[in-house]
Amino acid sequence: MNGTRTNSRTFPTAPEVLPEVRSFLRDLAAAAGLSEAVTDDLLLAVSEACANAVLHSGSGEFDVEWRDGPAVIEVVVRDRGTFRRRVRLHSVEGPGGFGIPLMTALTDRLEIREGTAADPGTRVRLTKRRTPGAGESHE
Amino acid sequence: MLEIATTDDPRGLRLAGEVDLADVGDLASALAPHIREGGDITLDLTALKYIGSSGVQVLIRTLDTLDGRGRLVLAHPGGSVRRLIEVMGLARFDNLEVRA
Repeated sequence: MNGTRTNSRTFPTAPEVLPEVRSFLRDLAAAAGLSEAVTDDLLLAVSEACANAVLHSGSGEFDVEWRDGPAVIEVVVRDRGTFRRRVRLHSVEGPGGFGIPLMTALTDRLEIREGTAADPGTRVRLTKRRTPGAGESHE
Repeated sequence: MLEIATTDDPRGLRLAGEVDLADVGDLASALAPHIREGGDITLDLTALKYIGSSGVQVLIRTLDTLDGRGRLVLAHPGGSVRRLIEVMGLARFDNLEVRA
């Protein structure tokens, strides 16, 4: 096991559940002894992944899985739907499309496995170091 | 769950709780009369625990609509709210002020 703890919960794709997801993760982050800054970044990033599952996946539920390792925390958000590939045109559609850039900025590694019609289920894996690396600053 | 109170001095809103997908409609509605009227709008964020990109979209639309008729002042953001404002680089908007 190498000290890795896993915890997973399934939520319906409803806007009202997003605060519940954060409270689920906040408890796990506290139990893992993460700093407030690392916890904030992780919660902000995972919230964006979950908001995308709620808004865009077209599926009824999504899973949030927490893996608490010695050096990094991994959170995987998995829905049952398909990924919409698009580039937002701000002058046409207004501001938005901030979710994925934000996830990139707030985590150390972001992987997206796009669900397709033939193979549904978009999986977003967010990895965050337990402590900020050398030379990295949260100004 | 978002609680919104109107403030007169400074003119604006006091936000408490969280601004998430379920709350952005309420926030936009509360801002609408202030945007129509024009002038500076102050949002007291002292008791706000969370805002995500959906809420930030409402703020950016407010800045676009105010365009020259007033500023948006984000007062006393803490924790993850301050972090999101930083990462989004909202201070780059000419008509936005972040007040510690």
